[in-house]
Amino acid sequence: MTEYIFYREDGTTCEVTKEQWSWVAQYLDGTSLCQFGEDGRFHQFREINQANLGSFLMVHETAPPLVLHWIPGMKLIHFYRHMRLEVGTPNEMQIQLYCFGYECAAYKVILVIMPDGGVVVTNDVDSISIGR
Amino acid sequence: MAATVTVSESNGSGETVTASITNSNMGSTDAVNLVASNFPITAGGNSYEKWQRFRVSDLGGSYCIKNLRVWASAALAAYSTHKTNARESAYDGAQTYGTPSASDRSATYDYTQTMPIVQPTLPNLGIGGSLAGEITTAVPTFSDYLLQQIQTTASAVVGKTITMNYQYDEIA
Repeated sequence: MTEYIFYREDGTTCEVTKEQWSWVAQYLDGTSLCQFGEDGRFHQFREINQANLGSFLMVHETAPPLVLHWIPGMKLIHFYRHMRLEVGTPNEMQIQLYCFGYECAAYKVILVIMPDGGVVVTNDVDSISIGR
Repeated sequence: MAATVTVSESNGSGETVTASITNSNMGSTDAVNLVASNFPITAGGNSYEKWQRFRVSDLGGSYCIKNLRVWASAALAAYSTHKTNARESAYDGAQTYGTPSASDRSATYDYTQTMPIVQPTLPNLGIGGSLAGEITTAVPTFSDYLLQQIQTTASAVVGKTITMNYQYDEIA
């Protein structure tokens, strides 16, 4: 299945195409919430109950999962960074980075899945620069 | 699907909006996707202003779009400057559309900055007048205007090509 249904708060729906990497929130009680659920539903990141989180995984169909063993009190981070580089040239690139991690008042840890599947660990996503 | 985000451009006195540009070429006319060699800028003059915005036509399953950044690949050649209102601090807020002009209206529309040539470390284009703004609806919904103008002196020479880069974050 590649298309999932997102049920918006206003009652409308839309189809969401499965991402190469998607998240799975595993809770302390053994249950889990998948961004792209087995029931065909898409879930937003803000639906995650961080207070009961046991671990947060980024999963891929063929690559090993990337696992964050949850530290209570942290704030979970997940977003996509999109870059459209060298617009209007033969070298134009559209890039999506998968960014996830956690932060507290004192520090931040973000893992960035790069287009080639490599992972960069940083406290500052803005330090990552892509280009020729 | 993921959010649908394009870079739009506004032209003309009636503000004709092109939803998705294919290039950001600048020249001696007010036109989208122009061929720069057909509209050279006379040394000592300015290009027509570019009025561009991020345009979100569909959020898909995502919650918001934010953290907009723009930068160029390099500086222009000597005696030419690439001006913009994009800035990481002391942002002047959203500008109200004005018919693109080849006059220097930087004082009015705050494009007094030189376009950055490295990836900004902070957002430098606002949403709703704020660098911390978010787009949470798509009807479509636009960012603030990104204004650009090339300004030259009489000593300016031809031959330098630079390209534009655009970046945003999507919370799904």
